[in-house]
Amino acid sequence: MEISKESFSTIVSKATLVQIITITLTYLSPFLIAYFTGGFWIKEKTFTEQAEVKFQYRFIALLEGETNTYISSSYESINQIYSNEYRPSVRTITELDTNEDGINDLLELSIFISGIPIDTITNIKLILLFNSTLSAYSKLKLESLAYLESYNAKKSSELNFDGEIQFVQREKLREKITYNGYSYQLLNESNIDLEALNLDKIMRDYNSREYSTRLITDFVSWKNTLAEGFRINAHIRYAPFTISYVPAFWEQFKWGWIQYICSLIPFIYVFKRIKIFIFENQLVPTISMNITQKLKSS
Amino acid sequence: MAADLSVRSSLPLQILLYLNQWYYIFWLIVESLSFVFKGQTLPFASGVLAGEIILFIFLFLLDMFRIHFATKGNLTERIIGIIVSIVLTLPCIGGSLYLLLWQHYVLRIELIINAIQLVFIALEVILEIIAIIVFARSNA
Amino acid sequence: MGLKSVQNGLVPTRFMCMLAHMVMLISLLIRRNEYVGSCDTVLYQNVNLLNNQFIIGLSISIGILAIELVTFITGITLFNTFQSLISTFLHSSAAISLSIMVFFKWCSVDFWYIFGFCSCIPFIFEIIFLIGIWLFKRTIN
Repeated sequence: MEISKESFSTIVSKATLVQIITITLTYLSPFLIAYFTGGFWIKEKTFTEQAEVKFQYRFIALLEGETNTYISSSYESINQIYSNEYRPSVRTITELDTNEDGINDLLELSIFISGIPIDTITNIKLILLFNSTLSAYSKLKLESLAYLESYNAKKSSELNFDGEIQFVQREKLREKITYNGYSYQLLNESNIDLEALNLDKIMRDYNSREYSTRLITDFVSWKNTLAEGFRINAHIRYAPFTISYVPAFWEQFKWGWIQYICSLIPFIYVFKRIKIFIFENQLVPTISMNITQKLKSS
Repeated sequence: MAADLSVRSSLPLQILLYLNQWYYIFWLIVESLSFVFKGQTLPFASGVLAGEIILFIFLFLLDMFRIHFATKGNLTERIIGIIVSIVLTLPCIGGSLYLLLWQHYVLRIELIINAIQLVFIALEVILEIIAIIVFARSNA
Repeated sequence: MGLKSVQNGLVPTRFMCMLAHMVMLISLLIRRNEYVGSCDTVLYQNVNLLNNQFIIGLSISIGILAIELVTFITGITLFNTFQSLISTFLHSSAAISLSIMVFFKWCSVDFWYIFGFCSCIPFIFEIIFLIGIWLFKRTIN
């Protein structure tokens, strides 16, 4: 036998006021708590992904000595425009997968530019072009650039460097977009006009993109080899990219719902005890009856 | 010798003692929390914090005894309980003053809480002295 | 009649809520500068005026609360359940709001809302009951 107590009163009475106030406070307080402790909605999250980076086998190298400048690139048209300064180059390129997860993460590059007198180069600008593909959250295909500039007061003939490709994000990623906007070629292979060859303009345009990459060099060293020509040895690692994105609606709603329910349960319990106290001790006038319910099994 | 049926227990004193008992619970919580706060964030020489916490616990127990004896003395209309309570009031005043003034670090909230406590004790002492006079006169 | 509620602990609850409100008011009174200083300096040019207003508001709140405590302890509204309910609810919400004000360093102008709701309303009901008891000899439970 269950005995429960019910209280009755008219619609316009202190008891309904008490009821309204407790219900409002119960369901409103979790919102207040969330507001004062940093908000419900998660506006930014990050995750890490090993992107697929492929070297496009395209590069431009600008070597400067005290009095002369040399250029070597994989673009035929550039080489033809600057035929005075052009020197041919021999490239050895290996892309390795060192941690065996199926995605390449190390580039070993060796460029030998012949026809340069011994020990004349003091300044080098190197541009390497890659294709990066991100696929875990949104599909992004980027053409990415690694730019290295290095200066040495002593005239040398070999450059070694160690670097890492890092993802640069100027805008948060939105959900599940497929973005190929930056997959065009920076410099068109076949048709290059002189105006497009301004290095400042190329780098400025590239750095204004919302998603790009950057080369971070950990170690640069110049050497003298007592041989003719200029050699560039590079180890470039493809590090995992840290990507920050705006969560989609249902993801935000899921976390917000959890916060709301967890704050709501203690309030429900507390206000139920308060209401029992108020109505049982007749702090507001009501008519109360004991209701006996028989168990169904009788 | 006719039975004397009038009630001579002091009602204001009883109300004050009852409320003081509840106030002590509030005081206990606030002081413990402020000791936790001080222990975590303020530098103490070794042993000082432990000494102050022991003093605080003793003060609480002493105050509980004081209120207990005063209540019993008031309700049974006997002088002896109230005299014991007044005797115990002196260390309680000393303890409250220590927590208020001479502690190593006094927080703003501790200041207020102990000041209100001293007000309670002062009012109770006055009423206890009046109660002693009333009981002694009626017993004589 | 409602005395059952007193047996179940309504009186100490009301006392603790009033006391918590009083403690918060006094602690605000002791250190006022942070709250006056965190006001928007473009809207409120005169800092001295704000400071004075804050002091006056706090003092009036403490005065009203002291009057209510006196009528409570001397027993005039000790057993009045309606007044107890209003008093408990409003004073506890005032204590919570004032501690939020301390934590989040609100502007002192926001104090007037707390003053209006949580200090004035119990006082008004208290005065109504006092007048009822003295002039009309009627008590409402």
